[in-house]
Amino acid sequence: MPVPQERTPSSSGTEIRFIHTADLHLGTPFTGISKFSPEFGKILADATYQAFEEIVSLAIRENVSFLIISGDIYDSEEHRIYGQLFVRKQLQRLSDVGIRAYIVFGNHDPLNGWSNHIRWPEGVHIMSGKTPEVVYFPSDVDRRAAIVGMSFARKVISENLAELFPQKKQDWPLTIGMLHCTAGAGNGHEPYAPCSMQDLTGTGYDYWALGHIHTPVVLRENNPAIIYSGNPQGRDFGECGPRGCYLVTLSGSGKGDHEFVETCQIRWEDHEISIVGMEDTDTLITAIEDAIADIRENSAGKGTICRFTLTGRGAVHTVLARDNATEDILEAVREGECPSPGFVLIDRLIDRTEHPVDRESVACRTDIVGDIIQISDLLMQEGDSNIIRGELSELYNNARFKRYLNELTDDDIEALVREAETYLLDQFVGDDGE
Amino acid sequence: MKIRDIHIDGFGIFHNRSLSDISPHLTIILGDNESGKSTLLAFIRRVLFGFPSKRKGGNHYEPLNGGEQGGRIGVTTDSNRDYEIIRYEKKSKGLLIQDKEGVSAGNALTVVAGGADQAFFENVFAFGLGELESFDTLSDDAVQNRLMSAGAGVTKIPVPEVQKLLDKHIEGYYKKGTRKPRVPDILKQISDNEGTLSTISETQDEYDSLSTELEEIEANTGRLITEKQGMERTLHRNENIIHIWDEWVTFEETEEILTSLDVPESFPDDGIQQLHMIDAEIGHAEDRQRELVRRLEEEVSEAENITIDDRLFYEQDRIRALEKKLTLWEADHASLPEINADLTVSEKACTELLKSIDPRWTTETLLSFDASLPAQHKVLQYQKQLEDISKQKAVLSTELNQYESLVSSEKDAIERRSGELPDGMSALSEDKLQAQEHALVELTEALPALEQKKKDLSSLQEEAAKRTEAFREQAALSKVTLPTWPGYLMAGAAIVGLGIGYVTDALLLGAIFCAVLGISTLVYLKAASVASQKSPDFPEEETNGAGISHLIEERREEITSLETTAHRLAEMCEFQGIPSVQAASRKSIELLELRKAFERKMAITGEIAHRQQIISGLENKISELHGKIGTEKAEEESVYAEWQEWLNGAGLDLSLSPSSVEKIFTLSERASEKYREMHALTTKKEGKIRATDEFNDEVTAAIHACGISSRGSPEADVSALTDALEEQLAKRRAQESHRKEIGRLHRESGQEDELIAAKREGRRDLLRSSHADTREEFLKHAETTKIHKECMRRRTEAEHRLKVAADNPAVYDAFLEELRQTGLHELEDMNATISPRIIEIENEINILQQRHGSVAQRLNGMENEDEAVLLRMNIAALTGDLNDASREWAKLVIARIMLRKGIEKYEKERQPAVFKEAERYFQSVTGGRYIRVIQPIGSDKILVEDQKGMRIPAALLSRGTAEQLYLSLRFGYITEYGNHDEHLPAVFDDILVNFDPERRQRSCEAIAELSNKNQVIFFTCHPDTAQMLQSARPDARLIEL
Repeated sequence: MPVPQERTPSSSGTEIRFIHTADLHLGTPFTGISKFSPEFGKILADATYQAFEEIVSLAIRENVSFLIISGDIYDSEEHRIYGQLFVRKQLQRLSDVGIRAYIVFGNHDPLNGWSNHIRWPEGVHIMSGKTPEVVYFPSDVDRRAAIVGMSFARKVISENLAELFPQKKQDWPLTIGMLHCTAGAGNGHEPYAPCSMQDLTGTGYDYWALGHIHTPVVLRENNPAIIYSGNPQGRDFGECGPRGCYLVTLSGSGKGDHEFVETCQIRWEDHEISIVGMEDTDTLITAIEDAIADIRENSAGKGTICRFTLTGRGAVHTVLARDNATEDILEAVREGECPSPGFVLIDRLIDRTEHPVDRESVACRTDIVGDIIQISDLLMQEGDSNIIRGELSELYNNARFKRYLNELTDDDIEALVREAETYLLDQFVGDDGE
Repeated sequence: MKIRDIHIDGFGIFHNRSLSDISPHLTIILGDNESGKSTLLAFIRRVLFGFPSKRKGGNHYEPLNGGEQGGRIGVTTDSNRDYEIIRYEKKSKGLLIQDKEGVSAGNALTVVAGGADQAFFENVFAFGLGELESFDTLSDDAVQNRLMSAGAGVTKIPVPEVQKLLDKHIEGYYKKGTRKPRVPDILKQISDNEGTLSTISETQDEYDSLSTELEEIEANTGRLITEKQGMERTLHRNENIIHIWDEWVTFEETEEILTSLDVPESFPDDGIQQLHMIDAEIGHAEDRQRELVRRLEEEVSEAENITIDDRLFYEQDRIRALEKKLTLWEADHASLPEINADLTVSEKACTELLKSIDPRWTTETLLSFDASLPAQHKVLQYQKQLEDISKQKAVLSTELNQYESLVSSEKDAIERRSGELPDGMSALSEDKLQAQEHALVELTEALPALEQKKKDLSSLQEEAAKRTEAFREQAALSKVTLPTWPGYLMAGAAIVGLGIGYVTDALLLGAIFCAVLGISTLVYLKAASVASQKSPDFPEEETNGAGISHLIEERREEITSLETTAHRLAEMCEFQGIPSVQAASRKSIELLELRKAFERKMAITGEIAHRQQIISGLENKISELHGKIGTEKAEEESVYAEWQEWLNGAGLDLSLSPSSVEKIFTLSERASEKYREMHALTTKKEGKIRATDEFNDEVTAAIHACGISSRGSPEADVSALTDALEEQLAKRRAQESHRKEIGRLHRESGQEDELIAAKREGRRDLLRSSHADTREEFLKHAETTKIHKECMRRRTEAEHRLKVAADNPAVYDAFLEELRQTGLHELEDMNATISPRIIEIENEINILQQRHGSVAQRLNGMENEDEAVLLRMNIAALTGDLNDASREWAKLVIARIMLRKGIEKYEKERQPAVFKEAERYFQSVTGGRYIRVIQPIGSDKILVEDQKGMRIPAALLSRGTAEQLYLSLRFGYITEYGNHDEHLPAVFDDILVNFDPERRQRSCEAIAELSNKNQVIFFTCHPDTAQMLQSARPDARLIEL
């Protein structure tokens, strides 16, 4: 093991600089994307690891005092060792340059989910799962900061762990609390270790480094700053937007500054393109290519997984309605894209365009086309989706498929009725609406 | 769509047949049986929808009268566009649809025929009695599809086809019980990936287990390696001793031999070799000495046999000189004929050149002739002077001729212009002419004024007379009044009218008549009364003539004044009295011409005076030129006299011109050159002759001195002298060579003697160096020394290896002691026990290391690769695809539900529209006997309902009524189809034959009604049917085949 280097952290006097991250979820797959080529597959698979590696590099570059990880480093349910070893390797990098690391484990990687054979490098401290543990930086003698944290001992913890955290004592230096928890509403995440803002502010700490919520959010700016750093790499279209960690500077008076630093290797983008006014597919392809160029220009060299939803009524719809039309366009705009820096991987084109005819006027027709519009409206108005659900149950209630299929909501059924209506209009009505 | 015209290239009996007078509404084609009506119907069907395969049976209507099978039909679409549909049976030509400009509209019939296809058209629009009799033709799927689409308002694609397409798409995604569609296929891929994932997941436990195993392996391996290393050390030591055992034996043996040997104090290292070498060198020197003596004797003998003639050595220099000169002599001797020839040529050339200058010239004349550059320059000067004078004379003569010519020309012009002077102009002056012109201008202005004044006067006089007469008439009219009797007459008539009305019991009419006449009477009498009271009223001035008289007087005075002026001007213009305006105009023309003649005369006179001035100038110039020419002639004569004198001095012919003397200079130069050449050749020839004579004398002297007889020519003599000299020189060189060799052999022989003596002394020294007195004693010492050396070498080598084996010099002595105490067999037995154990340990270590490698590799793989992520991502992507595909399937299933509902609605609500239409036609054709046509839901049977409400199946109707029903149904379909698609032409082939006259009449009226929207072409062989149709639609066109 290399001997840790003698170093002088960028923190000065009573000021402390550190990095706060959480929810690395190393090795968890990207979901919701369509087919991808093998060369992209490797990049996508490595993305969560690369994001963590980038955070470690940032810590070394910024010469911070320590790194705080607030849980969910990897998903221990998978019982995969690679993620754990990767963490050890990266922490070794920190250790080699004398940067400490303080870690609490979360619901996805509780203490009992880690291998006993992982030998943590020098300078890495894993917080206890029994009670909140107080650790001083850099040492018990030379106290510049107190870090208080508690790991999840097991996966499910529904108790309020924040209540267990001790009040900041008079003689404590700058105090940082670290916890994997659901502070406030939770925004759809599992309500593990729920706590209130009051529980956190009541401790008198200077900074709360929280984990569990994947969207970076500053719950409180100061006194104390309470921050979810979010996950450093988005993993599906529900995790669009910048992802990274917080570079925090705390001064002796408890005032602090926290800067969000983007570390994700791949961004997720969900775009909508209206075909209204487009004369032909060349115009559409140009619009998509322009959008791709915009994404690439603003990507800062990061890769992007992108999804385009085509909407609106227009002449192009007729072309899109043909068999394999969207696949052909997708192929055209994907052509030549390779996994180089700043790549834009178009996941799919979702055709939600509608026939160019005026729906209201078509609905007045006294032929089957008008009938279809009326039937479509009737199905919606009556809200009677039982007929539809009955026929769809052949597949959606089939035991073989059910576990893989998303349940169809009423909104889904409504959207499907509209798409079915468009499909029939495409079959029956010519390009000119006659 | 409507058919405009038809052209048949070849089809059945028709060849090159055209029909152009086709109505957009109703056209009746009347023809007897076999006149081609059915053929024409078939032609229309086939050009529109294609020819049937000839492999099928039936009538193919091969062209019986020539032409290519096919033709064209001109049509106009509902959107009023004209197209030509051209189709031939031959596949290479196929179908062509083009607009009236000939631009192709592709080959899709939809351009003109909308969504109709062949089956639909032939069963609904273009049929004969055969199709009409059968309802089955209407229930054909293809027909029903088109009908349904038409009725449903859809034309892009028939509804049932959409249903089929939808079913196909749905099944492409998912169909219960099958695995091929997309959704189950994706599920299978997911299952495959999950299967793979299950084999590599949960690596943490494996990692822990492997880590523990790795630690155990490393501990066991360490223990075995330690044991093995100890055994290997023992084995190695034993093998080391066994390995050097032979050296140990050698060491002991050589120690013993060295102890027993009697070795001399010293012996040279290579004593034996030195002795043998000295012996050999002495032998070789003695052999060389014998050879030298033999060769010395041979050289002496050969030298004594050579004799030398010294005379040739005395003459050696002279002979070498002659040898060198010989080449020069040969060249001189050979060049003489050539010099002679050149000399002859030069002499001849010189003589000819002299002759060409002047026959009298000799070489002396040539040498005395001055051909220097100053002389040549002088001649050129003469030539230039004479040429300049000649040129100047020519210029002056030319100028003189031009002046003389100009004088002559000017004189001719004066004479000609004098002849052009107008006659009788001598008395006319400019002033007089100008005065007449001014007077005439004034007169011309005065005459019209005079005329006008006279006219004014006349008009005034007439006006005065008219006014007087008018006054008189007005005065007479002022006395006339209206009579009153007509008024009274009208009043009487009114009263009479009233009386007649009363008598005839028409009092009202009588009263009206009386009232009208009464009012007329009152109006008239009133007018008459007013007229009688009115008196005439004329203005004062109209009756007074004093104004006009005053004007007349003014005019008369103006006329008199104008006439006086006119008389004066007329006199100036030489008129007798006042001329008329015309006469004045004529005079104006005369004066104009006189002015022109006068101006012409003045121009000619001026020109003649100008020319006479020119002639005078020219004559002065001519006189001046004559003087200059005389001066030039005198100059020329002076220069020529000088030239004659020069020629005489040069001895040349006096008639020569300077230019010809220039050639003489050239010739004399060439002659002089030839003379110099001739002189040089003569000198050269004399030199050559002298040199050859001297060489001959020298050769003769040398021959005599050497005692050699002459060979007859200088060349041969010089050769003989040279050969003799070379022979003597060779002999002298051989004699010198022998002498040198004898000397050298003497020196070498002496050296060899010295060498043999020295070597013998060296041999004696060698024997003494080993303390030997004899050769035999020396050889014995040599053998003893050799054995000693060999033993020492072997002992040293053995000792070295033993020290190496001992490994450490400090323990060498102990090692030797160990060797003395050890037995070879004992060691070999010990090794035989250790070696297998070491192999066993090695095998155990190998097994442990292999396991260690695989465990470490697996652990390393776990640390460096996580293939599960990719697999999970694949599964996630496939799950996404599965959801997408399932969603697409759901969309299509919902579309199917909606379409099904749409069809149900069509069948319930829309389809009856066709039957309503058919019902209307059927009711009309049957004269109201049947009032409804019904198709029960879910049934393909047709019922009709009569006036009494009785429903009768179509199958039970009479043949004629059934045909009328089916015709009405078709009319219903045609009408309904036209509501949603192209109005296609209806072509009927004698379909009314089974109808009674009344229903036929009504059917004709229904057809006439149909033809309002759809074009109808009706084929029949019955003139009365044709007539009925014409009655129902008077604008129908009749075409007789």
